[in-house]
Amino acid sequence: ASTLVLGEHERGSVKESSLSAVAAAQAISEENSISLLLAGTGPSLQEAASHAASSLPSISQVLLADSEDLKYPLAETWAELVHLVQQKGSYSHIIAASSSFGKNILPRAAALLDVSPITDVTEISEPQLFIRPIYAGNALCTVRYTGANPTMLTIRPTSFPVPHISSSKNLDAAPISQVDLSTFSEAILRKSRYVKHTSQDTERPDLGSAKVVVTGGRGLKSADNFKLIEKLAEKLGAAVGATRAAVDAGFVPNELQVGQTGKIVAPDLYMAFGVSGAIQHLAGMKDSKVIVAVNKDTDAPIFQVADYGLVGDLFEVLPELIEKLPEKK
Amino acid sequence: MTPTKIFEEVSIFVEGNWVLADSHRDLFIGPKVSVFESGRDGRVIGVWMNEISGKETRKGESVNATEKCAYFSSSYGITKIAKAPKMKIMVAVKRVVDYAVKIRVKPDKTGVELSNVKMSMNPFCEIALEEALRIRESGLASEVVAVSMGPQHCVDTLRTGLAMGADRAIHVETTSQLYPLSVAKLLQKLVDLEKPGLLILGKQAIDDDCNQTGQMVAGLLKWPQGTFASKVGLDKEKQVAMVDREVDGGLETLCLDLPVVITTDLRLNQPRYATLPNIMKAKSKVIKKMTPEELNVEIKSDMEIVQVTEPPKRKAGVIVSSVDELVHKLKNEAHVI
Repeated sequence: ASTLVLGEHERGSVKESSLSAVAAAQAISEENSISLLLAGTGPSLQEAASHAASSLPSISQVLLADSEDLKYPLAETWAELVHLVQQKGSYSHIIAASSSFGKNILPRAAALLDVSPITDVTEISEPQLFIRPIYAGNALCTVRYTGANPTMLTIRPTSFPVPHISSSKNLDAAPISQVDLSTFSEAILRKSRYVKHTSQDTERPDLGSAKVVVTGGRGLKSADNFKLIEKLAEKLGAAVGATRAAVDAGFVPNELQVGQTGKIVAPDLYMAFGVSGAIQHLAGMKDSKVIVAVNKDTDAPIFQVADYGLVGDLFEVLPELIEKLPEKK
Repeated sequence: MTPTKIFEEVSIFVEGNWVLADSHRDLFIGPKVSVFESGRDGRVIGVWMNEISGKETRKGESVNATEKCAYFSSSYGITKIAKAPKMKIMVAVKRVVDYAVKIRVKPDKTGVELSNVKMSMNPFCEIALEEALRIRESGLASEVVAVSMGPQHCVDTLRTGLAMGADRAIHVETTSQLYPLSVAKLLQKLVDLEKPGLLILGKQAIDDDCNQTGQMVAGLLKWPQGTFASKVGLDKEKQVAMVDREVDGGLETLCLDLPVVITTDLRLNQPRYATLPNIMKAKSKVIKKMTPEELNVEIKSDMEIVQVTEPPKRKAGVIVSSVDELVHKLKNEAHVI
């Protein structure tokens, strides 16, 4: 097998979710030759490439597509790029994380290659046999891909943990080669233009990869009360999550939404406050290792998945927890 | 008469009558030849005949973009061309198990129980249709066409769409198992036929949770894509769509040249309910039937569902009685703090 991994990078390093995609590539077969494709422009791209080449023992090469046209990860340009790289490399598999980056790009690239992609894979049983959740995770579907090469997947990052990288060992760095972009079709490129990106910059860990997540639901009642959640998160070094109800009510921005259509998380500890536990929300967090739920409604469905449930008023419980939980160094 | 560039729907004065012709591409009409469709590079790529036309075909003929209006007007008797700010929107809708139904996996593991289960329009498709209706109501589009693929029952979903306000519908009927790639190919052919300026879809269906079709049809059409949209703004003058997308780290804004594919996220809008009068009215609206064969699409099946199983159940937890007990258990039993 030979696998192309579509990598996303940020500030000079490959994103955690893309490292999960590399881990998934390793799960395809022992003798998998893995090529990591990075695109963009400037020193940040070069830095990410040399860092990946020297710190990821499982990859056999880094492919670098350096162009002003690839400055932003637009689906139109990336899909063309994948098409181009696949024509030269004839990979058996192409993988991306099912982040908003991979979800946007990979199906488009698959259509250009006339291939049916398999998205949001949580388990790779054989090189062509995969498990993916359907119906918001209420059923698991085992799928065999029977079409032509390449097999194209997006994988759920929480299902493919990133192995610890021994940074001290100076292993042989994988070669970095430039993708020849001279035949890059430019027809589509000018039709789509990046304008801006807006986010709420915080010091908190990323929701998708945090070890602890503290989530608030409709029970918080207001954006102001949501500060209690943030305070607890700060104390635990945790990421903040929210239910769709809390986002719709305007307590917090959408990027914090956990659920079927929001982020899928699987931290070591998930603490839910004022969350009823709609199936769409459970879909996004039920793979967490330990789940704590605090809700005043004894019958809230969240208690059916919680390891520890506390029936009570969260406005009393939260301050007490903030006081009694040990500080995360 | 030397009109400027004409996009989308144009009204054309022929033999004393205004004739409406629509496309996102340049269009020309004359008493001898009917409608010419030409690409942006000035090449005539298709000709439609109408009652007043002869049988002339000019497929593939190349015409200079600035000269073509004058050329056609003198050759084919066009007397007036007017630009109208109108376009067509196509919306793809899918029939799925209602979001409130608790699904059951069949004991033989072949799938999910679908008989005697309430079916509805996929919630993301409702949002897609709502967005199309709002654009039409704002005067930026003239027609909303709802399309669906699958067995006979898809007609119910299309009726719902018509009751919400879609003008007409197309049902591509097939009993074959449809994967997103096939749906994308069918949509591509429908777009070739209908020539909408916007194709709007839900970002994913809540049954298979694939999240693929919009991206795939955009790739096949070579159109720009604005996926996971939470805000869509159209600029008719510049012929662009400004799309806010919900991405992992916040919001991303893209500027996309029309025609464009948009897939909808939850917060784009709140879909309307169909009112009783509109439900009644929808019964007389047209649902056109087509087949994959007519559209010349071969339904590929390059996947095999091996089995569908229930996810592992979490073992029952405990209810603690106090914050102290919770902290104690998290520390000494779960070892997570």
